[in-house]
Amino acid sequence: MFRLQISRLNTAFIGAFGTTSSRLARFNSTTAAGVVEAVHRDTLKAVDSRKTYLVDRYSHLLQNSPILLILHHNNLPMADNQKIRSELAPLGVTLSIVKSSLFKVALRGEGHTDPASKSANEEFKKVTHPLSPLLVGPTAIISVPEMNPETVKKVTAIIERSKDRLVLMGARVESEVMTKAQIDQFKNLPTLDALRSQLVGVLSILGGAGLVQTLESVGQNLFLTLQSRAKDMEPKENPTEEVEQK
Amino acid sequence: MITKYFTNINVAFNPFSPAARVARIFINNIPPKSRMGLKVKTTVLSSEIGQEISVTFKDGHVIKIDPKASDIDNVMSKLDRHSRSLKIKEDIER
Repeated sequence: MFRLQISRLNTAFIGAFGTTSSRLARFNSTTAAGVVEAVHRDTLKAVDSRKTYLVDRYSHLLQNSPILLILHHNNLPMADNQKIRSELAPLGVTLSIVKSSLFKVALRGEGHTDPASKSANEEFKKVTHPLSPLLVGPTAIISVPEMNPETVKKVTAIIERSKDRLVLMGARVESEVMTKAQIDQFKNLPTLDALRSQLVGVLSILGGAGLVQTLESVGQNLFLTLQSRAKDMEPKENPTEEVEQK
Repeated sequence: MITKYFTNINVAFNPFSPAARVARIFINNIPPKSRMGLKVKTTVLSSEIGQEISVTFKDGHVIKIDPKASDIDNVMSKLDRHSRSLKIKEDIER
């Protein structure tokens, strides 16, 4: 009786939506080509596995954060963890505890379109990233989504207040690796916009006098040399050399 | 690792050196609860010189270990040896 009901139900469904194959065809026609390609990824671990997910997440963080601070963490208790995270949230930065081995995979395969894929694994298997010495033991990262030294300054203040729960070890600023001493210098720099406006100011002050003269001097020198050469040639009145002058 | 008899811990390491592994795992192994009566100081160095793990015990004894020369098991067993002797003393006094 029950089976009969199911078969009736099935026929009702097929009647309503057509056969399975035709439904699939209709579904595929609505998806963009890129999306279908992304579904058929040739990843080293299973596509829906935790490892692939984490490598994807780390490479997303690497791509979208120009500044990445690398920290050592000491088993953050729940209360401290929440406190630090809530202090970091208003700055727009995120703290994530990373799995070192997978973060290494994301780091070394950064140039590849899909760091979790088999081809990336083969290509970069023996590559060691300059940051990988930091990825032993318990590691956390703070990703800063904008190029702003002032945010780094605020973040380091929070880290120092955490009483050695978090220890700043190094950073990656764009593609450059920084030690702690270098970060201390970096965080006191003005923002990129401020630096740019300073440069514009300097150029506009010098624009009238020094800079324009310096830039023009190369062309002027060439013109003067050619002109003196032309004067040397004139008495001979050789038509072929006149062409050279021009 | 017996952390009950520690009063002061000083760890200095250069994160880019291989010795950092021992130092980092060591400070990670100190349970958060025992940190209440225990001072832990971590220094990040930028050179290989001056890397060390130093632990002060309740009886004032100080043990200094070079993280370059030993692995984490060695460090722990070295510290536990003194902790155990303190524990025996404590048990006898009781």
